[in-house]
Amino acid sequence: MAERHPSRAERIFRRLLRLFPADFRGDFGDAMTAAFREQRRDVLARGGSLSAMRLWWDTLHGVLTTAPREHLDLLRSDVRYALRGLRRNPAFTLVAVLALAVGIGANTAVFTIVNGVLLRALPFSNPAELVAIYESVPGAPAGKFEFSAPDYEFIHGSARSFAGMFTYRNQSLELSGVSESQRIVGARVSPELFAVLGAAPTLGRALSADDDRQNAKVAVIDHGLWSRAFGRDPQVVGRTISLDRQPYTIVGVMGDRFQFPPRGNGRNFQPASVLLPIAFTPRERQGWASMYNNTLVARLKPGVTIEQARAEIASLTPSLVRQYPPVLQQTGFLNGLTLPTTRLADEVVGDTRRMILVLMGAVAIVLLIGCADVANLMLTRAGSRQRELAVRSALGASPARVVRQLLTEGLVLALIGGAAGLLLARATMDAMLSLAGDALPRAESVAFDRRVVAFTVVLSLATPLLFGVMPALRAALRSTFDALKEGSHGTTAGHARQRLLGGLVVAQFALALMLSVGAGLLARSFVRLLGASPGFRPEQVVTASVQLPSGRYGNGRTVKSFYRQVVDALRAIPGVTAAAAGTDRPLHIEERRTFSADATAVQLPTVSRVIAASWTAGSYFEALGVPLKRGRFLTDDDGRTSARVVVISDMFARRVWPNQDPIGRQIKWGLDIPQNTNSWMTVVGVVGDVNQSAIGSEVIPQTYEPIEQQPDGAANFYRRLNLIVRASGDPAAVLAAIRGAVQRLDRELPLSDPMPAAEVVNESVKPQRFSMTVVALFALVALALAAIGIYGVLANAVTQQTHDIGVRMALGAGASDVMWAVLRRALILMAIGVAIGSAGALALARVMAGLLYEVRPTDGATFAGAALLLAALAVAASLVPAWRATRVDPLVALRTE
Amino acid sequence: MTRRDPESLLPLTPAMFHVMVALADGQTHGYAIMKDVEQLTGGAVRLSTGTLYGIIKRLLNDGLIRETAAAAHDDERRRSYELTAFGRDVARAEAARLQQTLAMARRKALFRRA
Repeated sequence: MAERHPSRAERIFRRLLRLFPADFRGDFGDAMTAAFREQRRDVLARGGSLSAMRLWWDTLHGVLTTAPREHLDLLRSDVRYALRGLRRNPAFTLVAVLALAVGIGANTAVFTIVNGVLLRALPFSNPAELVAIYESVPGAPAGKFEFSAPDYEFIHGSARSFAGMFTYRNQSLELSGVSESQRIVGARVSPELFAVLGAAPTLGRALSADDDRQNAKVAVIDHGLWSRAFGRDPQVVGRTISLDRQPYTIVGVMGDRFQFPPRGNGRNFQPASVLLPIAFTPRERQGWASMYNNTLVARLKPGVTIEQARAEIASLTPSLVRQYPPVLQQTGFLNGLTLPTTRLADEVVGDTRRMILVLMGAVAIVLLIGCADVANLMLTRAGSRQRELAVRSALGASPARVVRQLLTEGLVLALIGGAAGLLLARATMDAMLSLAGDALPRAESVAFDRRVVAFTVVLSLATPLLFGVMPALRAALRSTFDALKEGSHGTTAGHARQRLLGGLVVAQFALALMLSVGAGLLARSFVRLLGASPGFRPEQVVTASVQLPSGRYGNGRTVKSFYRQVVDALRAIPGVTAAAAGTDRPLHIEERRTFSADATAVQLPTVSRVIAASWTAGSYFEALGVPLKRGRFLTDDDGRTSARVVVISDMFARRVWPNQDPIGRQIKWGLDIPQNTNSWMTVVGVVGDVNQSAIGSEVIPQTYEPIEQQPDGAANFYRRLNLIVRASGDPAAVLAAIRGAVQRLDRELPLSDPMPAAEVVNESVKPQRFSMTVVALFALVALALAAIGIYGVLANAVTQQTHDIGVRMALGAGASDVMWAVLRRALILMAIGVAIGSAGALALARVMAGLLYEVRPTDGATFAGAALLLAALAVAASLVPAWRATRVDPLVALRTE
Repeated sequence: MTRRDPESLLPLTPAMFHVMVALADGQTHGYAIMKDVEQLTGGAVRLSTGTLYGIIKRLLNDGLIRETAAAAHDDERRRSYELTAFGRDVARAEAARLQQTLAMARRKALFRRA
């Protein structure tokens, strides 16, 4: 009964055998099936369905325990074989591992950032339910702004979509009475914060509604401050600390995972060391249309979507407008008021998401180029290993077995590369983070965790599929069958392989072009940014800040007196040519106000009359180097008894008095309504425009007023002094002299942010510097990897074609002809790559448009430059192979026949 | 082939040893081994086809058994195996090892009746 139809049971058994490695199946499959058939025959003869079931159970069990073991055995021997092979070819191994290590390492490093900034949940309970709500009117300077106290209280009282909400704002505070007094970042928060975030202090208690109502001088401190300033003293609750020279009692300490606000780019996103009750004053509660500086955070009720919450908020907006005093409603300021609502996590990350995704794309390209390199190397190696593989298959290894072997080799390479990559990423992470600095939202949560390691492992397991499958399949399908009959030159298979190698090089060039264009655009944009004037001359200028604590400087008179004294003291420092103090640091001008102008001005809608404002003492413009356009600067003579004056920026003049001389015109703060009793100020000068925030950001109109002419009341606003000193000589020495001058006025007053103004400018372009540097670095790596690829392919081609070249030279071809043939191949591959890559680069550039400053994504010079760079690379990489081709001795080449 | 030390392969797994014992009487084929093992152990050890051929592969690799020239049988797919000389040495060494182990245990109180 040799020929018989297999029974159903037999067919099922055969299917089970597929769980074994193909070789095992080939060796024993038939014998096993025969044994199974006999066994089953006996079992059936003995009878009983129970024993039949038992047979199946035993069989299944046997297969399921034996098959994995066989696979493991095979893997072990394949790995051993692969390692032996890699050791025998150290050059191949080194280049392949290096290419993979760089590719996987760069991906791991960037993924660590993606993980920390975009993927890790905010450290609060159910963070996906948390949203941030803002206010917005069409044409508002930054697109949207925070809440005023009365607006917050209205929404707090009427919105139903939320399980709870709170508001807060960052505040800089002077901490003294612990060690040396220092400036710390704090936050004024409403007491619901703790319930809404689901965070409780680990020591003591949270802030309560009573604290808020009574404006109690109590503070909850964070784990960082508890460690730094109190050495984790468990008895710290009940201790008194001095904040802005007022006593506060510590009532609670937060746990080490708690950080609020999360670090982000927007306003009010600086992690606070102390949380104080926000305790709105009656004036703030009635501050309609003013003091929009409180960020609103809310938790969605379970089951309520953000869309539903947005719809409810939108339906509440008209009622909110109706709460405003009628006279304010009539100004039209509130026309088109909306309350944009976003997830808190998205709000924190903001625009950085785009930058991070561009980085992720860049490193993906680096890895692809690296994989193409390794594929190239493996293909080339497969060429020289054809005989070895052919012998193996002649000895009985099936094509599947050869594929398996080659894939295992790839896996071993990738795992070694992955391990090296992980180490590389770890080693470079700190440098990358310090390059990003505070500009990176949630920088604190960027760390190696299990997810990062898992990512690297998955990447290492996946890359062999990218670079190993093609060579493996080709080797299995072609070389094993052809190699034995093929001559030593490998002509047919050789040509096909050359085509495949060529394809890989084209892909590398295309990818390298994309990355070079990306890096080029960022670099050009960055150069433009550095070249852009901030509106002042930072050279030879140093700045520093002090904050006058309200405890000692209780009213406007003491504050203004300090301004006068400090300016005098600064002027007395040797080498100082101009000294001033102002309410804002350069590039950090945050105050926004609405003004009304006299009848000569053009009528502007209210939102266009929201402008930046600063208050100064001393020779502010001279010290900062802001040019005078018309009229005069402010002087010490603009004192409290003289007429109120104001200096406006060029943009202000052009907007409000186009084609008119603004000198002598008048403006006042507030809306253009009869109830506005603020006093008029006369324009005495027009100065150049100065950037209010980071270079490259939008500039808006601005005013400057003498601090001396401000009313003695509300002094809070002027408490932060920014000292600006223009002086010849070493900035460090000048800063030391400034510190001395300040301490002579108030021994306990800490000096914060002392730095040359050039540094301030530098800091402001940190995010761009980061993305430019990182992408440029990746582009360099990509180019190097692409160069390795083209070099390898050309060198291999020359070796393969030694015979052809010999024939051509024998037939009279000169060295330049031979050289040109090699170069031409390189240039053709490059040209195809550039053509394909240009399309990809255009797509990439479009995504990057938002990251660019005064550079169009289709910038021709950048594209041309990148193409030229690649051409140079192609020529450089082909020089050695081309030279080697000319050294071919026709006689030797032909003799190898 | 250099002479290998039979001791270097010890101890064998019980299943491996059983298969070798089944082959001790001369060449035999897969299913016969399975039946033999079951009989020898009084039904205590029942090898499945998967387990058996996993063991056969290992024994072949280690040179303990070899495939015999296809015996005249009704089914040419049926393969027969026999112990090699080295395999015999290893089986003997394993048997001796087991005996020693047993003797050691016997000397202890483990088997003494109270």
